[in-house]
Amino acid sequence: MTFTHPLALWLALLIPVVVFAFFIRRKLRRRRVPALFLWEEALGKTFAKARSFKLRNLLALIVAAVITAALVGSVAEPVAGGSDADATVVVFDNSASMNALEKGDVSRLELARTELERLVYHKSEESEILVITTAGAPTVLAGYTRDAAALRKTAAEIKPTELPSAMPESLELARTFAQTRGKGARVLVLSDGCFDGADGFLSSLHATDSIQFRQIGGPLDNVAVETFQARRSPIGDAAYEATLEVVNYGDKPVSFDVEIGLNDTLVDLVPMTLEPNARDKRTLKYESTEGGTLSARVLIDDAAANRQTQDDVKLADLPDFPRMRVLLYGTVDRFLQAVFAAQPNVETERVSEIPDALEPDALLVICGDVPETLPKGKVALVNPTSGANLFAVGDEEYETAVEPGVVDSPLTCFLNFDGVALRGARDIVPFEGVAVETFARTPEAPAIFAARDPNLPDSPRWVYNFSCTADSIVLRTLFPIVFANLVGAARGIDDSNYASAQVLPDAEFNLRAPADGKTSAALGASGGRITLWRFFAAAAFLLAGLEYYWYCRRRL
Amino acid sequence: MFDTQTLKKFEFLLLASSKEYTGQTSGARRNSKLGGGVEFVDYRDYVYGDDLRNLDWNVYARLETPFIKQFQEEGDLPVYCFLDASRSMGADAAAKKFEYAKNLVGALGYISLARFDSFGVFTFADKLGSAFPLARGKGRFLELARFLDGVAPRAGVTDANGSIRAALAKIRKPGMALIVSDCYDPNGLDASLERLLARRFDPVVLQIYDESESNPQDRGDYVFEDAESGATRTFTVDENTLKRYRAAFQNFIATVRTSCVKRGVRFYSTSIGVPFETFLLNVTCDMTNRAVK
Repeated sequence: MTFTHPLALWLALLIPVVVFAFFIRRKLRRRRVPALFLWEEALGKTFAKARSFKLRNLLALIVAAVITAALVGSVAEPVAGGSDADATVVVFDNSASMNALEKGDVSRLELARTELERLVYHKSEESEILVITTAGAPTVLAGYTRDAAALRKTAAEIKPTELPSAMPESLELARTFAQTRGKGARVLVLSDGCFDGADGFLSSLHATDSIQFRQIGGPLDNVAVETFQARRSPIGDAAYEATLEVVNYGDKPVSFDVEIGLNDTLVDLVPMTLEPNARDKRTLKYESTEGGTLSARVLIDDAAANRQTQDDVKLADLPDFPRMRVLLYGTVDRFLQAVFAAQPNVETERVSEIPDALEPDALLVICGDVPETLPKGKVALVNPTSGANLFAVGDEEYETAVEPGVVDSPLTCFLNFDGVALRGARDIVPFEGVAVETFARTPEAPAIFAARDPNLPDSPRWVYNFSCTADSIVLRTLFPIVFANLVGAARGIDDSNYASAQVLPDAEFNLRAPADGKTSAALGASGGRITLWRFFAAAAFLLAGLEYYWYCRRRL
Repeated sequence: MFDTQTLKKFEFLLLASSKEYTGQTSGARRNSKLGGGVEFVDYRDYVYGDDLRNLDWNVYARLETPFIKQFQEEGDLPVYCFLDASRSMGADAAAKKFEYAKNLVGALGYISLARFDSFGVFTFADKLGSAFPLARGKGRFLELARFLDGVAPRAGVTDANGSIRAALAKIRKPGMALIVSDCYDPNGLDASLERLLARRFDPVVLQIYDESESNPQDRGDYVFEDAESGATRTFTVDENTLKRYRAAFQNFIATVRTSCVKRGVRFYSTSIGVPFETFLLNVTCDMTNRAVK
């Protein structure tokens, strides 16, 4: 048994003082009474017998001395168990899950800090303590030291983080440090048990006693956004999709809203109701040409159902919808102009001369006569009357109804051309060396196709072999889709449109303790050492009460 | 001892005895004896030698037979006060008890002297002590006061019986016997009362005690010393002990009262917490009421 405050043992000098005071007190007071026989009558035959009187005094004296000794012992705070010259490697979990609020709105981190401070407080003067934190990567905050003040300062400086716990790496590092101190060293883990591989770690605890696990906190209710990703529509319009996955880790059903925001502007409120340990995964579709930071935030009224707030928000990057310049050349009628102007994030421009080269985000739309040479870049030919250097254009065909069997392509998606009469379709004969890929055709000529110039293989030429004068409801309905597909194809479908970025890394936020808190491999409050001052204090008060009871009851 | 105002108030009080005494000299109290009073009672035949001043001449003129008028004689009341001057009356905690008793005796003495009664004081403890002989008239009060002022508690175990027996040997005429004491006589007052009653005295017991005797509060370990015998006992006084003592004290009072009542002796008990004037008024009023009945 050792004493936390050995200097307090000097207070034992009070025992002789108490004994002396006892004898002073025991000097009986003399009192002259007019009628002693009345007192004798009152007390009968219970006069003080000299022997019992002395014995009682002796007992009272012993009790008083023991009370004093017990009080002195409680002040000195004796500690039993443990080794005086041991070393402890404290693995302090300061990951994001340690920010969860336990009862009394005290975070797990604060509870762990209190445990560490108690460990420092109760350690013997020869004990060494080393502190490692686990957030992100193992970090040695304090090397082996006996300096309690420095350890207390270290404990006070541990900050909460929003990083995942690197517990396995930290434990490995702790073992390494412990081995440098031999058998007297141990590893003490102060954690809520919410880290990768916790179950395996705890099951291995029973096989070895060199690592002791002190679980901080218990299972708490929590609602977390586990997954949130966003991407632009692959078909090139302004729509985007967000994949949202929310989990209820609590023990009771909970209803809440998920606020979807884009650049701090509210986009949507998604109401949800989740049963215990249920998850809701859904894909949300919105439309915006603006890009930025897309956020999903859990809004829940019942704070007790959501004790961890760090996982209530997740962010995702939404790429900007690319702006495209559409240059209109030739005999572009008003309907076609209106169709292009209605496209989102498209800037239309009428040009009188064809530029020599087109920018990558530009699309040249030529209606009617086609010049001999087409510029480098993306070009669409609408109702061409000549074929430049790609193909020869013949007479106008009579059979213009589109045959079934439209080839699936970006230009023809969402369309059903079967039997639709496309006026103005002409006979098309590709020049030698030009590859033509037909997506839709009439019985006599291709209606929608792509021609590949062998000299400019990276410059797509899309051809719409029909007149855009919309004189029927069917064509008025089809043409906006036809040219929306054209714009989408001109934008190109590359990987960036599918990209999403999460600002927060995926951390383990499951507030359920491993095995639902059945990790009773926990240490005592002071790390295996038993504080005895409470027993001493209780004994002192018990004896004092006993003495008072005797004092009240005794009759000599 | 008392101021003038207090003495004037005392003059309105009266010590009424339940018995009639002839007294030694003429006084203000009527008695059964016929003699030289002023209140006509009866006639009787004239016999030779009667004082002719008492002959009713008007009757003789009408009946030609001499008749002598008889008057009720008025005499004084001998009042003997037995003052307990033992140490129990002047124990440490009860030092005021003896002062209270002396004041009470002085007041009773003044009442008696003012009413033309005879008043004498005997002090006693283990034996009869100093005495103040019978005196009459208010003029003797100063002497009485000086006497009382000089009385102090004496050592020795109270022996009321022996003391009163010695006192009675010096008393020729019976009268009212006022026993002012705390009654802490180990042998009790029974023998004394029997002796007084046998001598045709009218005993009245006035018991005085202190609040600390009837209702002690101090707890702890004590060595109690008897104020009179000097005997000591060690006690640990706790609440239970105090309860038993209080019960014993009340039982003691009841015993003394019973002893007096069954002999027809008037008994008055008071704590010195009660102003002695109040106690005096209660005593005299009660005496008067009983005498009227």
